[in-house]
Amino acid sequence: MSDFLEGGQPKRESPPRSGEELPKPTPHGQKTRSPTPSLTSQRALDWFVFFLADVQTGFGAFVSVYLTAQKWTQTDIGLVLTVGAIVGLVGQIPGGAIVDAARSQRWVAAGGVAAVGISAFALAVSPIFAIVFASRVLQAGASCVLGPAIAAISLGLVGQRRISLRLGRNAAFASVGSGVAAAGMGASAYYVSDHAAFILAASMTIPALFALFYIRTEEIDPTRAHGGVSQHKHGNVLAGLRSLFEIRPLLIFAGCVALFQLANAAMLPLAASMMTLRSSQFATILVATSIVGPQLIVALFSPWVGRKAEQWGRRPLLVLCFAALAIRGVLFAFLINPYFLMVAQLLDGVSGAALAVLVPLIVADVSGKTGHFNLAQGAVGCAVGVGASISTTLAGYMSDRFDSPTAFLMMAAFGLVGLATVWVAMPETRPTADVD
Amino acid sequence: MPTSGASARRIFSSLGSLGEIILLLLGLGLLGEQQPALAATRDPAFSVWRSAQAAPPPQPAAPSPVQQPAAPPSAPSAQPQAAPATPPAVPAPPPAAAATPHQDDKSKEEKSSVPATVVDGEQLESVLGIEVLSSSGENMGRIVDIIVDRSGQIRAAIIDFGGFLGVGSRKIVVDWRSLQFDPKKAGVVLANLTKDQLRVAPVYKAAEPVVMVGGPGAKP
Repeated sequence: MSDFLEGGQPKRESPPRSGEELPKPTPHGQKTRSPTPSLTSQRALDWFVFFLADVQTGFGAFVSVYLTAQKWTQTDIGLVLTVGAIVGLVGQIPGGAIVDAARSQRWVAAGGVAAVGISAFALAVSPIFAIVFASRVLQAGASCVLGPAIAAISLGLVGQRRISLRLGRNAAFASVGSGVAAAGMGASAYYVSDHAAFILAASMTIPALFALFYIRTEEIDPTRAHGGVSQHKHGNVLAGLRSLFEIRPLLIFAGCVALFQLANAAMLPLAASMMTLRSSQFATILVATSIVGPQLIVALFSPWVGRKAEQWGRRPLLVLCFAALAIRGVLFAFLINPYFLMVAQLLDGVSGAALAVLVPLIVADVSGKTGHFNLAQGAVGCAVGVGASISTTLAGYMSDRFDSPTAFLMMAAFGLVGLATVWVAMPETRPTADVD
Repeated sequence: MPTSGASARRIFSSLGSLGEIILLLLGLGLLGEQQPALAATRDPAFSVWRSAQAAPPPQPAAPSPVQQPAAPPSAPSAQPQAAPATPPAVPAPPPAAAATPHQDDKSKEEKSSVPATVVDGEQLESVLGIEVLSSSGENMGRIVDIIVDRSGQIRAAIIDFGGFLGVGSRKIVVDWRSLQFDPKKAGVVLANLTKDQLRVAPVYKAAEPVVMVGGPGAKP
């Protein structure tokens, strides 16, 4: 990647196949300086990520609480949520392709933010079936685009060398935004009304759009944001996917992250359900803390992860991530006291921080030469979604058929399998050559 | 941050049978909007449907004391509407309607001479989404479904209990006789149980033995 940026003949790992053209050198044929984005742009990106997380937070489990209060049947609620989940899963790859194809990441992100804001507003104003359905689809589609877009803007802004630190900051601001939004929405739902919570989420789009347009457009290099020039410049999505499939570290990483989500996605709901069962007075506070607590830990921890990923490499942190997951599963299986459950849930912050930084980082590392950075993110996001969906069904089945400790141990076992895979198969993806 | 995990879990537990899915698609075609029971009773199509159930109107002369928990109403017409097999377009009027006799209840002859009842909409409410409070006033969750037995008698309500912002809530079953509807205040119902008694209830699973907490003899 670094040689390519410096112009001249790029080093190639394998001889070019027939019919493939050599990637073009940089436009001016000169050495490109490493990017120096202004402080304004960096701060603006921070706040954009913060406000965006604010808007997105409301669309989790809170929607079902809200719809119940609006006198929806459980079947209808289930249908709307399923559709949202399916769109969020299936739309990952097209979303990544869209961001790859776009010339201006900012406009793509702006469109996504506006879509999420509109869907929050629609939910608040008119909770009838057709509108809620459309709102969920819109929001799921927008989030498929926004995830890659943020990483692409970051990459375009700071380049390959400092992307690790930048992603650490992104994760920190996103988790603080998420925690603040959860608290804010909970408070407004309690003190004002459920509608107010969604209006609050919708109103966060305005500061988000403001922050987005403070990012100076000339500082985002679109080529860099896509991860370099694509060899299939006007190729379609399938050609891009096929070229990504040949990158072995990417496949291994996608598998590992899917395993992680397989273990992780159902842990919080199941543990929260245990807390509700076992604690009388403070159940709500315990569950609230187990949602917000890990967010705080992510906020504190992810800049550190960003720095260490540069220093130590990516693998040690991946190992840490999976180890925290496995330990958490085992603790959940054996702890009875709901307060201890809440403390164990804080380990979610550790894994969450590590993954929030490492996923876009490793994808950037391995897809750097292909120009399909965002498509790769979409593909990994798809794997994550599949893992998450299987996880909740499987955990539900296990805890019904056997009991909850067994379900937790099974998830811990998946975590251990992931750990073994990382240990044995996952290569270190930190770029070794120095970018100037 | 609450992930789609919790929602996915609900999905797979609620979309149980193929029959429900088909009924749901029918309901989608009708756009499933809730209407007040009063408008429904005035709708001729609804009246014809109701008469097809061979339902006598609720008897105004049989008052039940308002303070006691609403006894399962004598009119069998109310129950089939609460059954899960009801087309989703028709809402379920709560049995409380039968327990509060008023001069407003009057039988009215429709043009097609079908028996129908017109009840003041202010007296009625849909039971879905009603908040349930414990005997000490704490919020227990909301009613999400009603359980009826084969004879059409309402047995229990399913309550989405606990959790924060939707994470960690469980569906528990509370005996209908433990629920007290307040005649003055809509949207709220009192359960004769404390939070501790409710939280140990097992989760509701269809087609398995259902544990209904509470009952007429329950003491908080």
